[in-house]
Amino acid sequence: MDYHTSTFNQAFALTLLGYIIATAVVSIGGYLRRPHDLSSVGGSPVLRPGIRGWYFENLQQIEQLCVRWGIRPAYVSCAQLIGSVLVAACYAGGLLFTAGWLLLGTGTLDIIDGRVARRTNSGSLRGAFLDSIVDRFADSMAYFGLVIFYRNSWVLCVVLFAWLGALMVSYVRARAEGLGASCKVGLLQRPERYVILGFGTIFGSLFEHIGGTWLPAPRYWLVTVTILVLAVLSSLTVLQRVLHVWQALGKSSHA
Amino acid sequence: MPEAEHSVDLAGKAKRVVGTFVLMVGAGVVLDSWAAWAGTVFMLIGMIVFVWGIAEAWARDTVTRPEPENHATAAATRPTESDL
Repeated sequence: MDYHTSTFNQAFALTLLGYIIATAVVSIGGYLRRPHDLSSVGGSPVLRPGIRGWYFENLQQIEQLCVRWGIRPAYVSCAQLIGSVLVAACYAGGLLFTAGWLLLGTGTLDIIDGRVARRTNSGSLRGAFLDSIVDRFADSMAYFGLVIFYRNSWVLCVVLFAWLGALMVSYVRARAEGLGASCKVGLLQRPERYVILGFGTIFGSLFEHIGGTWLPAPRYWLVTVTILVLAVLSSLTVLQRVLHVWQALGKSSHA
Repeated sequence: MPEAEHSVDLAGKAKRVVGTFVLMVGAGVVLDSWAAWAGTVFMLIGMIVFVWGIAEAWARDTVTRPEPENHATAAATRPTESDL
């Protein structure tokens, strides 16, 4: 049986889209039926406290299992490292739907390691250092895979620009904190980037299979739009952070 | 909202989340590559884990739900003075 006939792929992609929407409706509906204390969840303009609360609730049992089985945060970081290599391989090989899910998975591991460290009170300076190195590596591997995927297209320039933006967002914060200024502001921090790129490639791949044969738009148009949005918003975030740190350092030097 | 209902909704949650994730990773392999057999294996594993999580949630629901039939069952199995 040929699994790659266009009819099979269209039907399969439509089924997956329906399944994802149904799962999201059931899961978020179940979450909204219960009252929640969102005061400790935090939030940002893109990922509101309600979304974060729902997401953390989904992770609650996995964290408990990590704690019960004695899985150390460093092991979770190593799994994130391996996962990020798989993300790059999937993007490079054109498995965009799988790459999107793996990217969301590695982003989740990034959150789990910190939460497990806090729960088990095993946080350390070496752990924080390892975590930040793995985060930069994982962030870059996704863009590296996209660079290979778009190597013969004009989108390559946009991917490189988005990659630069992602690295600069992190660098500005690290440099600011090195100078003693706090820099937790920004429209597009790492979780937001993971969510936008992850869901952008998941739905981009699905729409490509559903409508790719008859839509006049270029191939993987939604993925291209997602990367464009990331490039623009990352640059705005860099600007936002630079202005914030500039003001903060100005105040502290006058004090 | 009672605490029991909260625990019902979270029962088997880890299995449902991991099952959905594995299912979706496998589906992507079926969708985008020629290794459809590998994707199908991943999808089957994901489905089994997901259904296991659902079954766990339903089993917990039957035990903890304060429905009249459960009260009746509890009353029938509650120790009486003659049992003591």
